Amino acid sequence: MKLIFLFCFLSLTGAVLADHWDFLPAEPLFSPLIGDLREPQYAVVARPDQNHFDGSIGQIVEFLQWQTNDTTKWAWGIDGAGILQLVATGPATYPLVVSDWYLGTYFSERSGNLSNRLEYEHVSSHLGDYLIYTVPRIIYSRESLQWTTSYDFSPEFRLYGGPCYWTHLSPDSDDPRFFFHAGMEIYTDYFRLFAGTHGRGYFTYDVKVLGEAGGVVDQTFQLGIQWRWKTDSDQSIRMAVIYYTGNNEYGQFYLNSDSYWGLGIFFVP
Amino acid sequence: MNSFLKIKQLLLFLILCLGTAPLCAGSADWSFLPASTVFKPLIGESREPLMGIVAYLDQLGYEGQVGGTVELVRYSPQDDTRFAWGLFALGDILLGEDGATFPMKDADFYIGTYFSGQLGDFSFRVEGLHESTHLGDSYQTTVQTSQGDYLDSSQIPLYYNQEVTYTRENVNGTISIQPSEFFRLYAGAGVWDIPLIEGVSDPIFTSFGTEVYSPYWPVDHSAMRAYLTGSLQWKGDQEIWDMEVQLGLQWKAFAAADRALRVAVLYYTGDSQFGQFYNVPDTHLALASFFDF
Repeated sequence: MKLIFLFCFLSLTGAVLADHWDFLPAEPLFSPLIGDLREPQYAVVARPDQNHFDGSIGQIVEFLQWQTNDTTKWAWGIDGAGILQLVATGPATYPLVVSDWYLGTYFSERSGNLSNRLEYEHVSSHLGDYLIYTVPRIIYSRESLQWTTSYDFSPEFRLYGGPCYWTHLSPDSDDPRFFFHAGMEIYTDYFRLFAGTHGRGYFTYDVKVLGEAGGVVDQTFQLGIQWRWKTDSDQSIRMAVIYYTGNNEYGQFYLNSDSYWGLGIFFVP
Repeated sequence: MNSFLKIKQLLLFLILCLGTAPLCAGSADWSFLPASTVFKPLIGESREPLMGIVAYLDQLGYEGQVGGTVELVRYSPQDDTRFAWGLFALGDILLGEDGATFPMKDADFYIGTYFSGQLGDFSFRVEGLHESTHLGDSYQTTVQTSQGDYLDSSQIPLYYNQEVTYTRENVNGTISIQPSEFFRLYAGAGVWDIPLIEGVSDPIFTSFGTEVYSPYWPVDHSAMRAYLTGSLQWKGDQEIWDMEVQLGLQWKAFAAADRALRVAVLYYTGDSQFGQFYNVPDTHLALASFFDF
């Protein structure tokens, strides 16, 4: 494993020497799926009906982009995220319920309005200290291959979807290993906000259909506002009302159903 | 008052701040959500909110860091004078190694807000920081025993400790001077709201550090340079110095870019920086990869 660092570094060196590349570009070629709460991002989601909070710390690090012809670009990068759930048990006391950790690498491609991403992702889930004395933990560790095709019909409308496959499951199971992920994003036109800033409304729907636990459909709805300094800025802040229904997305509780309303704030630095 | 309401009020406060800050931004001196930070990250400090993976060379241990800074508002009254306000967050985990599995030993989380400024070669940052630390679930079988003296064979500890409730806040400030692109010095001090160890009344901590860089050399369309960092931190409530040294390479798209990849050999000695093991001596040599975004 320690050799991986050296391998990656040498690979990057060789790749950069091989052709003309855009190294550490400002924006990933494949636009993040903002409707998926498991996409790497900085976010806080409060669940008013459960006294729970979800925090997300995550980042996409796109190493390289390269152009193979006039219309097609490719990219390679990694991403990592820590997603945790806290529960409010008293004044200023928020013990950890569970935390999930993601590490992945991906290749992506864009040709005009069509973009694709193939990602290999590891996730492990860890019981928090709030439950460590009372709930038996499971060794939850998984890897998956995820293919996502996205099409921007217009700047205001995007559809995406694709098949995914668990290459490793712990706990192991005989459940189908294929699962599917799809969704859409709808935006309004930009409107002027304070002091020259801009905002636009958005709605997203994200769905994952999994074979585990006898068949699971995880659905996330977001309705909110995306706020930017300028309309072409890469950085943004989003505030949204969220509704989630399906099974719990935290690995330690993946067999349990979960539905909640949430208020979220998302940061794209 | 219900703590949940407090958090909701904090969220509301944040939203209002975000909403009203640009109201003050009546001129071109203000910008919102800039792409970089006024106060450059202290790359020699392992608890700076950055992305990174650290593999211990002399122990079976790994650290994973996911973190970042969101600079919300910047005020630039002159070319060489800038002020900014923002937020940051960091999650830092300690993993052991048992074959192909990596049991979690500890997870520390940091969240805070800062005010920073730059005046020529000088820059400063004042932070308000919350830290909580959580024992990893790989210790579950251990803590189920009253004596804490048997361990599952698959859960060889990097350290061993009974869980401690560790959540506290500090206010800290750092000043930095960078007279050239090759050299930076910084010093800081802070105070915790509560001392870590009962009976020890010194909640003060101080830190000093330096960053030394080589000139860049070209790598095709990119730029690379070597770097050396050293940092010392005095923890008053533990009465101990922590020291960290990094020697590595920094790779950017171009010399003036803020985004960088770093690979470094890292040496650390002091008490463990993971809160659950705050009183456990820790000296390690590691290979680290950082992603400065």
